[in-house]
Amino acid sequence: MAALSLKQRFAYTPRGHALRHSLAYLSRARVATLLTLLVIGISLALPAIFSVLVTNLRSLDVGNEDANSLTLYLHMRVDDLGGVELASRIQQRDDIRMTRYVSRDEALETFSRHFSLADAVDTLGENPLPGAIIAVMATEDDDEARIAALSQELSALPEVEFVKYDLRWLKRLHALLELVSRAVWLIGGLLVMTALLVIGNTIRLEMLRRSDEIAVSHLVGASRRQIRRPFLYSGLIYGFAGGLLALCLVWLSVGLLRGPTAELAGLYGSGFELSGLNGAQSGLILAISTLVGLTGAWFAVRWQITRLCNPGESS
Amino acid sequence: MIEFQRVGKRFGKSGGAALEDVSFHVPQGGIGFLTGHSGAGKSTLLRLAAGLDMPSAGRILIAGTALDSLREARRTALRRHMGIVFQEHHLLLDRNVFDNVALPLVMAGYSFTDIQRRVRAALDKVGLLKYETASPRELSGGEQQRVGIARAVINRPSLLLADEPTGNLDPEMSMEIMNLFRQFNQAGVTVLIATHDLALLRELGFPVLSLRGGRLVHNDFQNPRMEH
Repeated sequence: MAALSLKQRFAYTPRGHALRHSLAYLSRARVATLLTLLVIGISLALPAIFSVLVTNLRSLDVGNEDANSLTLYLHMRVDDLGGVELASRIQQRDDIRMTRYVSRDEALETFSRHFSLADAVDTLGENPLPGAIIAVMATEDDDEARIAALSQELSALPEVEFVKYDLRWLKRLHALLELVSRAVWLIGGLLVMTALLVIGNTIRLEMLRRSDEIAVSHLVGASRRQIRRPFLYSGLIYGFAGGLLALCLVWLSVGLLRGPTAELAGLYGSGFELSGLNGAQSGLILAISTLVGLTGAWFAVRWQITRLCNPGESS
Repeated sequence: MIEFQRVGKRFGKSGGAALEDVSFHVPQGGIGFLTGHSGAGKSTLLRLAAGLDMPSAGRILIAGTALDSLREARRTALRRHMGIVFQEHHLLLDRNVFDNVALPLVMAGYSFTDIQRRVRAALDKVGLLKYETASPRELSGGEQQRVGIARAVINRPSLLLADEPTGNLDPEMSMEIMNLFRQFNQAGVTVLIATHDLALLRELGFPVLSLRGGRLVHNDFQNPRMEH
């Protein structure tokens, strides 16, 4: 009884009154409300999903330094001391910024950590992996001729069995991700703008449908702020509920993609797992969607209210 | 209470005059009819008196306050001391009778206890207390008009403006509505009723303001204090 009384008391305050009738209107027009929410949810979910994918792909990126390096695989006869000396010699070249020697034991340890077939290596009895030197080039350009010449020169060294420059694709992926990332921001901005326009237009139509209420409120002495309030609440509700729907769509999409992604990564011997939105990102999406709802409603109300409060009179 | 000083109203830059050089003064506690054919300017005059529109010329004083000296927010606040009744009732069909009548009090920020007490008293006054939870759709035209009147007087206004309040009602119901207005007037409320119902004019004998083509052609009230 006390709870009911409290609810009633709130329902007849100016704010409670506005909220009650906004919810009642949205509930009465539930098909239109649902369709609007779907449009808002999808508009906000698409950039969020793209953003999640880009973030995940970025975690695959090994960075510019690794992408700008050559790997020199040494002959099996070269011991650790020889490897370290060679790395030191190579580092003194002008076209090499730094080197790192990876010993045979370290290579085996890394291999065992990343690949499930590593157990099979134990059956061989001895470490089959050679030592290697990772040489980071001094310049970061993609001059294929220069890199080929350098590779050829280094592979001519007696300790070196062969040279690999197979991380170019990572550099290209990095550049591609930069491009995709910007495209996501651009498309995201446009889709958020779409959501804003959809909410603005929805509120404009709601105001037209509730024009009697506006006129009567104006007559009985409601201030502009009081007349605006229910429509701003509607915008807030659209924005918040649309944001929740967008989060659900993102979670659903990540959930659907997680299995196949893990399977694909497994085929390449990787334990990569698609990660979704964290709490902060989810909160940000909700905050943005709520703000979009409020802003869309605000513009619609500003545009419409004068016309509805002072309709053309007849004598 | 209501004073028009040479008031004119035009709509749009090239629009014709809806009102021209209208001057009158309805005193505090007065009651009167505003008559004229359709298009004579009755609704325009009432909207101006309510501060819903501003005149193109002249001055309007409500309880001694010039409306043109007030910003819109103050005119809105002033309207809380007025009651406005329309022919079309202007009831909100998505809420019940109680909520319709309570609207001005909610906007004015009254507590739920006060709202409940005053709405019930107003509905009792117009004989509709038993319909407080009903939808306006369930009521007859006369009952809907009485709900409109209850809403108009819920704020205990000092001025009541009515635009063709009996336009859609039969003579018996019209007289019942007029009797309500008379009761409010006897309680000290200034009342101005726009109507073209000649039978009512004759039967009630209230002072008359008569408009024709936007001009005041008959004024039973005393001449206003002119400020030339």
